Amino acid sequence: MSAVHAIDNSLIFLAAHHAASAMGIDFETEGKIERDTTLSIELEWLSKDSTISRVLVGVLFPEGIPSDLDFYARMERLRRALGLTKWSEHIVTLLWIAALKVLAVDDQQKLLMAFTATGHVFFEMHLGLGNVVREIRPESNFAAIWFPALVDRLGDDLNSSGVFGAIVSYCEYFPELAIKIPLAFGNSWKAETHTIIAAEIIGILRSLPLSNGNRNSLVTLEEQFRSSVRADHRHCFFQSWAITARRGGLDELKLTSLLVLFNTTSEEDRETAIVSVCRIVAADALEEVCLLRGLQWLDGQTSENLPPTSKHAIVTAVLRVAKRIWQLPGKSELNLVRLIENILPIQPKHLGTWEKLEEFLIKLIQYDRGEFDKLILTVAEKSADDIYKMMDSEKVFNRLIDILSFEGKDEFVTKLSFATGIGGRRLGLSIFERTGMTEFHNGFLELLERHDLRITLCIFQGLGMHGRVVGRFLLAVSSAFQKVSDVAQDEFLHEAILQCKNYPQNCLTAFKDAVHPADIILQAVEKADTYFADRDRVRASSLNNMAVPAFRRIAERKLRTLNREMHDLVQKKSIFSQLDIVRNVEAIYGNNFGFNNKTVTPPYSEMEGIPSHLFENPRLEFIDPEGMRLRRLKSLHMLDMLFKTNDP
Amino acid sequence: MTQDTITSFVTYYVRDLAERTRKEESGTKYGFDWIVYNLGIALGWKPLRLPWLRSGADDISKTKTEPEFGVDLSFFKDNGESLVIFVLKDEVLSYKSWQSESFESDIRRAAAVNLNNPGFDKVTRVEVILAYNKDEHQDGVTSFENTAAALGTRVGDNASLEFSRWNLTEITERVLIHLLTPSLLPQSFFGQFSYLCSQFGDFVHGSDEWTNQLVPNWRNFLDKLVNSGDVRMLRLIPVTLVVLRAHGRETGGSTGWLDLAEWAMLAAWEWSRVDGKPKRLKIVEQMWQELYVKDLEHFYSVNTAHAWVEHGIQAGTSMTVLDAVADSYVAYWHMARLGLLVWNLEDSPGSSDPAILDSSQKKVSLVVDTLELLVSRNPAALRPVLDIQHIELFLLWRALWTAKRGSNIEDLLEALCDRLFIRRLGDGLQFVSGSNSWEIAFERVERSVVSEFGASSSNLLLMLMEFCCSLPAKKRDPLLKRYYLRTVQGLDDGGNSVSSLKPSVLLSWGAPDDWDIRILKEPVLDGSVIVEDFEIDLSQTDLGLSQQLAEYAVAGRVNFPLKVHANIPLHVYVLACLKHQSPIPPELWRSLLLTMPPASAAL
Repeated sequence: MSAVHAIDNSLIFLAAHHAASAMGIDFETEGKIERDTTLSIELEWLSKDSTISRVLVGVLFPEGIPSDLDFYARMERLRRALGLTKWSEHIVTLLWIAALKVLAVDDQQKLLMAFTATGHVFFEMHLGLGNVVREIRPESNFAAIWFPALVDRLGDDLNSSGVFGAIVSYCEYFPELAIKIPLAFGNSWKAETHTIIAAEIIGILRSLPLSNGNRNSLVTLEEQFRSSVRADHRHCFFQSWAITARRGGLDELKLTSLLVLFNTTSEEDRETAIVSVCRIVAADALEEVCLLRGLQWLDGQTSENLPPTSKHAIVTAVLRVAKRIWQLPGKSELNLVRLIENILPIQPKHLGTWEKLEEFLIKLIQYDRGEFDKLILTVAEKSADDIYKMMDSEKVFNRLIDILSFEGKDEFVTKLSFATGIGGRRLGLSIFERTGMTEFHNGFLELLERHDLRITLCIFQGLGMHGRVVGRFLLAVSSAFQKVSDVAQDEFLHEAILQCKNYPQNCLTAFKDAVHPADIILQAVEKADTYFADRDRVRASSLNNMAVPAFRRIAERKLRTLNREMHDLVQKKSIFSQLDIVRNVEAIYGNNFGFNNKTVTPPYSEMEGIPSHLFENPRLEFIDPEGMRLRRLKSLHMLDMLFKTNDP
Repeated sequence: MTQDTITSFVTYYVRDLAERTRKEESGTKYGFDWIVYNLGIALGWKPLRLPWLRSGADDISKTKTEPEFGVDLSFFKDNGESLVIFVLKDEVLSYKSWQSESFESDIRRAAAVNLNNPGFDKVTRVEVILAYNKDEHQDGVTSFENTAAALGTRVGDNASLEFSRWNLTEITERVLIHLLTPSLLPQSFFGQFSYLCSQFGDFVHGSDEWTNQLVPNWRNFLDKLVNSGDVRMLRLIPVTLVVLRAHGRETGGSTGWLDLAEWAMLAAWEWSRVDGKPKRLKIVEQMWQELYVKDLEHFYSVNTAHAWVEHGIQAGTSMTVLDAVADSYVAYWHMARLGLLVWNLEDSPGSSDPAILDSSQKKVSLVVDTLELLVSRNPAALRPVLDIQHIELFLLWRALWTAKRGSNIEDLLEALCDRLFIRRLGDGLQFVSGSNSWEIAFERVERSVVSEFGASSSNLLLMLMEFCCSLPAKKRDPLLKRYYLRTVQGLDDGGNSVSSLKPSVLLSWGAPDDWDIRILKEPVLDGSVIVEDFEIDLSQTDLGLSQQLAEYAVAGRVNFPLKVHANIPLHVYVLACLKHQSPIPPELWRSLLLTMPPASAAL
């Protein structure tokens, strides 16, 4: 097959031709499988003969190769014409390389630099960067500018393998050039980007078999960075060891000396040292002995006062090594749970750390239930002030809650809710709320002293739970309060009456609908009924036959605003509402839903947790907002007293 | 308002009218001819002869001056078969006046009706009614009866002749039965008052329509009465309220009626202040006691049980936090009236009879109980939204103070301190607004806006701190400290700032010299603002506040002495402040506090 003949008949030629003329092309009619088979053959053919690539580049850029963004725009058209597959990706990379080779060095560099200014094309082509670097061999001075620009373009995107693959290729193929880059950064060193790249380069080079000359240069470079007066240079040196470890280049001896160095670091470097060790231990290629040594060192460093970055790194490291550690014999000597316990609490705003912690807890619950119970309780106690709010806003533990719906949940939640500290109880009540429980573990509940019941009641008062949960909770504990002394009973009765007034629908009605309710519940219902009857009577009296200037007008406006906010909330809360393929139904009436159509008529189901007009607002928050807030503050004060004394 | 009271006021009104309405140099004299005419209309009679020439709605009809043979007014009734002829007299019926005031001659002329005139074809009965709006002597009545007997029982060939008398009582009774309508008022007020009655019947008290239409119309109407030039129109004020009441939507009293009555009372007090005559003052005092205070008392005696109901105040219906603001408006409205009632009952003329004294004290005690229960059962009562609500809080404090309920004052001030601190935190219901506008207050809550003119200044907080000085030192000191640190500065017990709001600037107010002259008829918002800066001494349990408060109060009393009219009760001035949304002079509470022995209070 002659080259010219092959090109003219190839799919790539056709696509390049169309891409050059900005015409659309649709290969779908040929079928994807046929297209990809053809492309795989043509790719093999293309990679063997660089002449063909050059010819195709000529087809693609008949007017000459531009060294700006137009180049990438046309490459994108070609890619789309060929379909977004790995074959097209490789083909585009080959043509990119071919085009670069045609250009003079200055234009090459311009074209490569233009890549850092591309839009979404960046992520369609960046996986080919490793091959580009290998084939083009950029000068170190240029690479010292280009790599940081690539990393900055990458931003926070996790799909970073293309950019860092380029750095790896550069180090592997051109170590003598790579070694110059960290120093070439010079005064342009920006803390994060340059530190990352320099650490990457040093870490990679350290793991490579280098010539003596390069090795000596590297040692000099390392020493320069290790002992630098600049913190970012020293941190770069620390972090480079994580790269080395990832590449299997860190042995026990090196780790030991590194840890000795870390032990003597200043406070300024301590955070980076911890983060570096966390990354080192998370390396899959790390030897077992190094892993244990690293974790032991971390164990000695942990404290609740660590900065958030260090905490995040430790939780991430623990998550990564958990499976490996638990498979080792003698696991008790190195307790990962303790490692996490020591760094608690985690601030509510550090949701990334909470997410990693949740992943670890999910692993732990399957591995060791006892340790899980212990850790989650410690987490709750250490974040006692925030745990309920975080759970209530569904910011944390969403997956864990699903997993917690297991057999024996009732006992676990009951113990948490009644026999732990403030945080544990708040967590227990939160799980009670989130999992839709309607009762606690009866056997456990019956054994409770009034002191514990009073504490949990106090905590419940401070939480401000939603109406439906309030009714459920009070019913669930009513029989326990029925059996204890007068003080606790009075407190419960007072609370039950107040909540009936607060939530006549979700609480009072729930009480009335309860099967065999406790006497104390019946008393609350009676009092609440009297309250509402009195209010109804007074509502019609001349005492209330009075309007308030401007109120009606502004209230109507407020309700319109609330309506809009409710709409926005529904839109924001539901991913489905943003998808055109899903039909959204806004429940403006009713509290059951179902469908009627020709094919199916399912039973009508109750709506749970769906924002609708049926959401019951807590009445007392509008009648007595300051009082309700004071009540919460007083419950905190009471709680303090209950914990300080045995039973005030 | 009892039936006796209504009867009295209508009687006084009718009694003070002239015989005929006429314009004089000194102004218009209103006559009861208009009332008799409207009574005839109300009874379904057909007017035949009027004592005036009818004119437009806003003008007074022109009185006929020529003699018409003693006939002041005449009507057909019973489809023209009966002819009713009125002889009107604004004189006492006595033997002496029988001749001198032409009673006899006019009756004789009225009885001598010529039924041969066209239009009298169907008349078979003639009734001559002597109507006089004054009292009578027996000899006058005898003269009337004798004259009637002498004139016989027939007129012409076919008609019978009858005589009767409508004295003051009779006219009043007939008015009460048939004429509690705008027609009872003189012709020149009829149109505007009819409109007011329909607005009163349609609008809800406190609504935008009420505030922006009815109240200005009502005040304008009262101005017209005051400026009518006829002092007898003072008697018309209660009558208008009686008529208005008959047009109201509620039985058993209404806040709306009380609202209009208050405006009317202020107009009356202002009238008496300007007039300065003891007779007028007595009339106003009578109106105040018999009409306003009695009705207020009645209103709360009917509603006492309602005021005791937990969360009974239910102005808010939006199920948003705006409700809390609306409830405050209504709660403070009632607090003010109960406070005024207590004050009035205490100030009522004393009696030496122990039984009456005891009954009076019990009455005061019951009203204070109602006030206290209203406050304790309705959290809105502890929620001042506007700074101007210091008036209601003053009235509440004063009621407790004069009832010697010191521990209740302590509870009240503590509860207010706690709740104001919660609001000072700034993340819920907003803090007390210096704008003194309900519209702005609602908008602040609606839009969660915290910045506004006057938001950081407070006269109310300073007043509450001065109230703290009415407590014994042991209670006063920690409470003063809490007020200052928490509600004024927004600090917690550890001295840390917990509020997103700026600390409040404590302001006192000095009334202008002419306050007493102006406040009954208009808002008085000028005067002097005194910023009260305190030097805090952390080593003292009260931070050194009580001494400084006392010094400032003394200085305030010297610099801004309170001038009031000797014959106008102080609580009338407070009512004026309430109605005009004007601050009350601090002297009102300082004068009470500074009479205390130094051992029990700092001020």
